[in-house]
Amino acid sequence: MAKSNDVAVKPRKKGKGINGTNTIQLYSLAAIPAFLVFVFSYIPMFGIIIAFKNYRFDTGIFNSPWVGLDNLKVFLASDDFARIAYNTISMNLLFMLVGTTCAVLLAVVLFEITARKAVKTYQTILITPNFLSWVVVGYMGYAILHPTSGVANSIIQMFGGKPINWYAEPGYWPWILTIASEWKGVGMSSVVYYASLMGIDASLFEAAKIDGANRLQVAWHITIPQLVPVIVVLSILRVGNIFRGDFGLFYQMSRNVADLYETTDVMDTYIFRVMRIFGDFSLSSAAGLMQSVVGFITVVVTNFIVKFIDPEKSLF
Amino acid sequence: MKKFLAIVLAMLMVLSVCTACSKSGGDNGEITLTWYVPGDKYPDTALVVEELNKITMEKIGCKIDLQFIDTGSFQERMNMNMASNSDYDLTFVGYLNQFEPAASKGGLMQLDELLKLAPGITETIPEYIRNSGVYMGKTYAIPNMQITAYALAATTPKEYADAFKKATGKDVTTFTNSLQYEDYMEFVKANYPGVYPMRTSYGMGSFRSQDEGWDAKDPFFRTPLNGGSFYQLYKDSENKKFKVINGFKEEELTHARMRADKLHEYFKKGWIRQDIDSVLDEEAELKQKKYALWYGTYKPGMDGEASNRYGWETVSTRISSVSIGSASATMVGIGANCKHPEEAIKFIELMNTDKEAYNLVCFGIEGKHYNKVGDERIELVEGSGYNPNASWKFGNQFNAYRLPGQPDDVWEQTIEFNNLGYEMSKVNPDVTTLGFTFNQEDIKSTVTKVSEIDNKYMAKKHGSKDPATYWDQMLAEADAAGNQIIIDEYQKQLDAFFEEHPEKLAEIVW
Amino acid sequence: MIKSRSSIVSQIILNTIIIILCCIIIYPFLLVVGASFTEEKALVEFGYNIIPAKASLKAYEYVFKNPAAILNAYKITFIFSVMRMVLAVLLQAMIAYPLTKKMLKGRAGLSFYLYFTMLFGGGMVPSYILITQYLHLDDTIWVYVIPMLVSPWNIFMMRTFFAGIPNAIIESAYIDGANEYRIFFTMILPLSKPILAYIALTTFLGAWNDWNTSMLYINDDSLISLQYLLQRIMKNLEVLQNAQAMGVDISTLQNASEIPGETVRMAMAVVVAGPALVVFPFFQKYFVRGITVGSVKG
Repeated sequence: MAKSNDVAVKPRKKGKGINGTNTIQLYSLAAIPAFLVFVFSYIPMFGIIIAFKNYRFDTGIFNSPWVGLDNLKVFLASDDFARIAYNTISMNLLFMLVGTTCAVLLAVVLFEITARKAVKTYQTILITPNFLSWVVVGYMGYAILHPTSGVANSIIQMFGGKPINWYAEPGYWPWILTIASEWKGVGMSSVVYYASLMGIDASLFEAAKIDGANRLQVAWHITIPQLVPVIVVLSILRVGNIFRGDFGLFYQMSRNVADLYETTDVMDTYIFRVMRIFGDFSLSSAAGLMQSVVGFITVVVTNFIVKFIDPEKSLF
Repeated sequence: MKKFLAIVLAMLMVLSVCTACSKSGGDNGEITLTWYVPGDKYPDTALVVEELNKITMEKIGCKIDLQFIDTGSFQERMNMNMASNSDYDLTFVGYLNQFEPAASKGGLMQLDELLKLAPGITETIPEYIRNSGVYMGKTYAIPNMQITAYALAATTPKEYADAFKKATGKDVTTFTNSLQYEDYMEFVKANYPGVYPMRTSYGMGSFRSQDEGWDAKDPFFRTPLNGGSFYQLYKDSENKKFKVINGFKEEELTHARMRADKLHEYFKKGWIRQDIDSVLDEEAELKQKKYALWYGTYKPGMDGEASNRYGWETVSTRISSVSIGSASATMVGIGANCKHPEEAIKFIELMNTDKEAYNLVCFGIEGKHYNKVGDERIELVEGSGYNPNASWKFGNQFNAYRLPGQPDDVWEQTIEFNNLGYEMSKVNPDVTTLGFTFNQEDIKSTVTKVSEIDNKYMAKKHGSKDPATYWDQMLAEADAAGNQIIIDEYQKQLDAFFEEHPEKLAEIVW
Repeated sequence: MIKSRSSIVSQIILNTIIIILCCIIIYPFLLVVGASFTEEKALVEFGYNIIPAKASLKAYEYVFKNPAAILNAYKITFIFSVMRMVLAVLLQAMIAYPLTKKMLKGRAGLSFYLYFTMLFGGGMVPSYILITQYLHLDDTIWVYVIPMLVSPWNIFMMRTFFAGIPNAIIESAYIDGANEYRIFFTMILPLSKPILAYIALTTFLGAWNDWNTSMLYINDDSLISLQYLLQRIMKNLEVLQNAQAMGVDISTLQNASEIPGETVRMAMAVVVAGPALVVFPFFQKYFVRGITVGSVKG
């Protein structure tokens, strides 16, 4: 690498800032990606005005008549809004709660297994669903939940229960979606916790053992507390997206069955539907803007909290 | 790393060149019309288009670029095409790429002036059918001629119907009422385990009767609006007036609750499959004779077509009176930003009047995609490279060759049936075919709200839920969403329409 | 290490728990595979099962009747996934590196410039207009690549990682006369392999599972992506259902050939997802390492 004997000889070149950084070169590196962001993210932003217009195809974005906040009012006043907002937020909270618990438990259990080779194999299997698209997972869900030929009802009937018409009973869906989301993601999210457990100083455990603590006590008093900072930071980061639903999950798993909207309709599926079925670009745009604004507020707030807890983790 | 960077830079350069040149070709004064049609893409489409272009170059002086877009994406793609002011020329309009939103938001070109250049269209398509493509008194789309009169048909596999006749002596072809099929369904349930006695894709609309007069009282059970189930038109013969009503409330007029209760009763009896709410496609099982009874639009020659399709025979019976229907499900429109509207309208004319060009698009090239077995009768070549198999997508279906299973005079019969429907329209008029459009612009948000409610309860109308558990709630929700506002607005516009066109009111037989 | 009796017992219990969990994870895969090898009639009659009630290869015969379409979708999807992966990693790293320079003027502004796009977007219409009418990327392979190269989230992950590279190494390079390009390409990138590999893989995975782009921008069947091939079947079915709900007589509309039976759909799912599932686990260690360094500074 550096030849130390040259150090003193080399004069500092022009254009270099403190510590040798070259501002122009740094800007030039950032130029192309920043330009792409400008083209594909900033230029289309003029479309936000659709939310304040009665969008007509023939007059286009700029010449359609202004309607002010009417679209937003229509959206906020509709019964849909309350339902969708509730679904989006409550499902996200549910995913967060169940997801974190499952991932932490899984990580602790894996950590307790001493055969490292086996752990590797387990992890490979547990991570696999993460590689699937929701389209494919939706197919799997169908094979399980199909009312007459699905596996779930076969099992229920085997034990003498009454088959359940899954795709007609919205009440089950928060849990079905949670399970699907966990099935697909728990392996991957446990990896983080597992890795931070691996980083814990081994002497802590030794000391506990000498003190005569049993496995459960060690897990409860040492292992899990070590994870708390990670849990907190990851959860806070997720709060920023509390008003966004994973479109694939909600749309593909529920097969977009109207009867399930009561519990499966979230912001993202609603925006999609309003645009597709009703062709109402103004309303869907207003809903999208609403989502952005709420997202913006939550992110700014959570970023503030993160900054408070761990400045290194804050985003800006 | 340097090599890597070089590759990346090279790629970016290639890209910039590519995007600059990709779409600039074909600008040598020749006119090419882009035509979007929903459907699978076929390997031989280019060959067919090449043949078609020979005809169009000669007759209207332009070429056609026929683009099939996947059925499932058609609505989205056309939404985006319209929303982005794309300058495409022709598009399918109807059950996909819906007419009302497209016309009301300015996605389609207004055709009234252009129609003067294409007399073939006005000559072949009667005004009452063309009215399906009229929005607020202006024409925006041209319907593809096909069956437009409407009647409900009950279809049964011949095997089950024959067995039923043998066992009970009852002949389903003499039935005139949906309820008469109850014995039949019971018979199927008892004798054919694994067969669903009734398919309910028509939901509550399955219940019709020619003799008990339910359907005469609600001729407008199918209104072409989003959320339409909550407002229907009732012909008030006593006061010689049309009344807009909430069909779910006015039980004595529409029997809506009775129909819903009936469906649920059938469901409980096991005549309707228990997983009805989540069934997406019934076609596979239909083919395997898994359904013993289903309802659909009556069509002359429908049994021949069905047997050709499924490989076994069916028996269809018309169980409702004939009324005038709408042709709005299958139309052709011209894009609002089309650069060559004159050629485009002439092409629509060609598809409605020129047998050769039309059949070429429908069935492909003779000897390659189909073989002639009679003067106007063909057989499709199995597994050929062009098989849209849906002549209603392209133009005047009455010019189409006959396929196996269709009688020689299938189109004559259909025209006759349409005429019958038109005659009946004096008694059972449909305001859309009179040229009336319900302008929803000012009450858009209410319509959206009500149609969301309609959407929500749609599945329940297939029979799986007991109406007692949701009926009142549904009505309350619709009322809360402002259903009455829609009804009042509809009534107001309708009254204004008839005031403006008293001659249309005068034609009606009360 | 001497293992006590109780620890052996607890090991057995823990391993059993995980093995059961693994079975739960694997089960749906087997179910779909099983269904794809079942005869259509048997599926309706006996329901879904891992072991076909009546085995049949019919579904695969149907799927591979025209293997060119699937093979081509594989090829296209692979090509654009690789392109997106390579370009995305490089470009995102190029902007992430300057963001680590605390003294760089406008650094906070640039961060915010990126961050803002995570929250606000113009929606589909303007993007569609931009891509189809100005950039003319529709019906080209580039539409899968270029619009999705830069994700702020990835950039911030990279930034965090780059910032963790010991300053002394970079300092000595400056002193050695290296310019920023050289430092970036010969030091930052090689030292950041774990995060680059992770972002490369997630980008690849995202591209591999992309169906939306095909739906919106591709009309040329030789350019459609693998997932769209699968999604298309579902969408065609949905349209029929909607038409039905609108009161349109679907018997006149539907084209029997467009709707394959359930076993065929399952076979399609196997064909589309199968190979990826065999290949991706080989890269597991990169995922594991990447997600670790990315979200928890380790």
